[in-house]
Amino acid sequence: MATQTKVMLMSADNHIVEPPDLWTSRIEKKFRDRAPHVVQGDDHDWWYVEGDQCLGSMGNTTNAGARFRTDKPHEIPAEGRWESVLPGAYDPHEAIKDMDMDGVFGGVIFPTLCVGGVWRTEDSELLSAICRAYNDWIAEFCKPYPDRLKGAAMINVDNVPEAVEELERCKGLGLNSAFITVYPKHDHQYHNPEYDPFWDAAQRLNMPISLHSGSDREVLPMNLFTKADPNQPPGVVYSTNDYWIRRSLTSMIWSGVFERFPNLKVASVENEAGWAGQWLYKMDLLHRDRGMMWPRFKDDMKPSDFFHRNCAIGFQEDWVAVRVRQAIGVENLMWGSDYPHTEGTWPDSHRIVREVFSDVTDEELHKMTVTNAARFFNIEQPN
Amino acid sequence: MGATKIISSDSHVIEPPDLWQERMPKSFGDRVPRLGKGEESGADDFYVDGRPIGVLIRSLTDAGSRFEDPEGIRLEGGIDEVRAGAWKSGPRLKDMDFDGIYSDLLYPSIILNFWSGVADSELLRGIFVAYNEWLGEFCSENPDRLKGVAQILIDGDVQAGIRDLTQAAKSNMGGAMISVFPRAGEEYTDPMYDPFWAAAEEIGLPLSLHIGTGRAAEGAIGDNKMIKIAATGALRTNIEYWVRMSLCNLIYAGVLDRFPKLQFVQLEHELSWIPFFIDRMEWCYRERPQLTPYRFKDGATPRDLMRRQVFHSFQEDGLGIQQRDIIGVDNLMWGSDYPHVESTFPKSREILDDILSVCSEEEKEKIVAGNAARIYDISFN
Repeated sequence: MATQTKVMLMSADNHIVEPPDLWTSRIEKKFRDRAPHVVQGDDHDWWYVEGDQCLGSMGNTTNAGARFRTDKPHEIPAEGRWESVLPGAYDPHEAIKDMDMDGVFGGVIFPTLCVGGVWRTEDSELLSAICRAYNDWIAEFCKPYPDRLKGAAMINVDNVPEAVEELERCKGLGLNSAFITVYPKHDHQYHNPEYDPFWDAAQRLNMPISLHSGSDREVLPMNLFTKADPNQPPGVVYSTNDYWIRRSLTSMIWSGVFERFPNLKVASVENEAGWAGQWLYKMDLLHRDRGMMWPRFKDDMKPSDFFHRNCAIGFQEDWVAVRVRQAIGVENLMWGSDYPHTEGTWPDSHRIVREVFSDVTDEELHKMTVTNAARFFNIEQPN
Repeated sequence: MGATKIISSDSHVIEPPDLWQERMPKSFGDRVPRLGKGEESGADDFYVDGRPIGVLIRSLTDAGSRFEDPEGIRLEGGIDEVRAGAWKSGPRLKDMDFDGIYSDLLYPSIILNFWSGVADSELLRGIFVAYNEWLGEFCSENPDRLKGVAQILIDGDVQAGIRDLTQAAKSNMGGAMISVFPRAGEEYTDPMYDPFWAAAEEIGLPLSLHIGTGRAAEGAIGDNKMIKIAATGALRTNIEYWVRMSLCNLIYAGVLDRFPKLQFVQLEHELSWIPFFIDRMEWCYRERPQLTPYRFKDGATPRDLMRRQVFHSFQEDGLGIQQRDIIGVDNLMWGSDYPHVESTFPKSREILDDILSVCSEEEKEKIVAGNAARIYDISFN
């Protein structure tokens, strides 16, 4: 049983919530009519893009802590107004206060709307403009606490040369990591060599690349391979959505991306991790027993070797992952709080960490909740 | 393993190449499966409806080669390389004796490729009916040790599925197999399947969901060899997605709840994904009921239904065995996959001794024999 209590945690997965005027006040003029904006409904506020495409409610997402105060977590409201959003979701000073209260030193910061429906924006130029405005905003948000608030740049990789340019610009803004769609357009998966200049830039700029759940570029998953099934409960998708991150990571590993870019770092974020033990085992088995089909890597590297050298997995409360941590790699697991989202561990992160990591040694706990994320995302550790 | 009698819950026959020409009605003409040469490889392949399927014959018969030279394994080959035990019951029983196996649950080999490779339902059903007839005869040589699993195509025609299922029971089959993931728009949530589930429950045949048998599975895409290889690797590595989708559909749509004696066996996807999968379903059912509106009787949760009605056939997943308390020891069944190239033959007992070393004697007995004997009603006489 681990006993660590005093150490400040490091979160591989924090969030902001985009203010209603983020795009209407910042996006380049020619996109302004089609940019994400908020419409006040009778009861709730709603995000819209492209004029009339609803992307869901705002305000529902930051009910952090509510689930610890009820035995009916499913009754926590799913919609809300901007006024109900936790101030720490958009005010950096409030965010720092909340993190201090929760015993969390720092975190890699992802958006909310922009890890979801925005990625399905068909017009790629509009999506790139949305990214640029977001990147300007998140860089300003992090500025007062550059050691602790580590915003991830949002990069549209549909057009690779433009993506490289934006990644370079974001480095200049002070952002030190980036995230891209968890599963790109189906005909342009990450094994495609078209992405090489982007991997090269990420490596050269020392910017780890995250793949966050929910950021699929196209409508997923069923409709891609089969017709939409009106009988299918949406819970099916929720219970199987680790497939997309696995597809992307497998594509990169098999196609030798990490052999060509040995210092490239790629993280899975908020896809949990309990799937990874079998995933690694299967890759190595296929590599060994299907030698005629797969490439041989230099220096006898196996698929799992690339994962252990180049990748990491952020997760929240996945006790299955903690239990099979040796099979996944203790150095490759990074806890994240998901603050301020409703599913997150705030303000009880230390208690939940103690519960989820109940059977690990102090050394393992320290790695999975502090140093792995700090090392992977190049964050200076607190003493 | 000592003297324990072992049941392999996942073994295969290889269909004799002239099976369909001999047994299918003349009305199918020259559409029936026949042996030919692969267009690119020049190796033997099967043609259905005049089109090559891409059957990798050597991969179906080369059991044991992975213990000698795993990186030298060949997949393509000739029909004359098929080992006798794959299609003749006498040599089959000798191979089973050599590997220390008492009973085999028998799945096909060549027609596994047809689930995704033959779109025409009438033709595929004809192929399956002829195969089931042959399999029944094959098993009749030793009904305790050779247990057939009939191939059942539904494809929207549930009554035809029920007819084939009824015939399977009459031919003493141990179980019946349906597509691991059905055609587009016909997922197992669809109420049209209810009469089929009811029939399977009443007849008492467990329904198998075997790897690689999707009617709607995705194929590898890409025009460049390197891209295609990576895409294929990504599909293969993550292939249990399809059985997860089907199990989720069956559970959330209330099929297992409404047909509590219906049993599913999922095969050759190994095990260690199951604890995570159960945990995800538990979370979703508990905290996102708006996404899983069907509520199970008596306060049951997805985990309870998995325990009661879903059984898992695996080969050598030691990591999964370590998680057996989450998966359920009563739900585990070992299988050799003989005579496929991935098979544990001829080292099945050695491999079992290794991966089951963490289990008690009672647990071992359940995993290698007791659970399969119970589910498939196999007697040790």
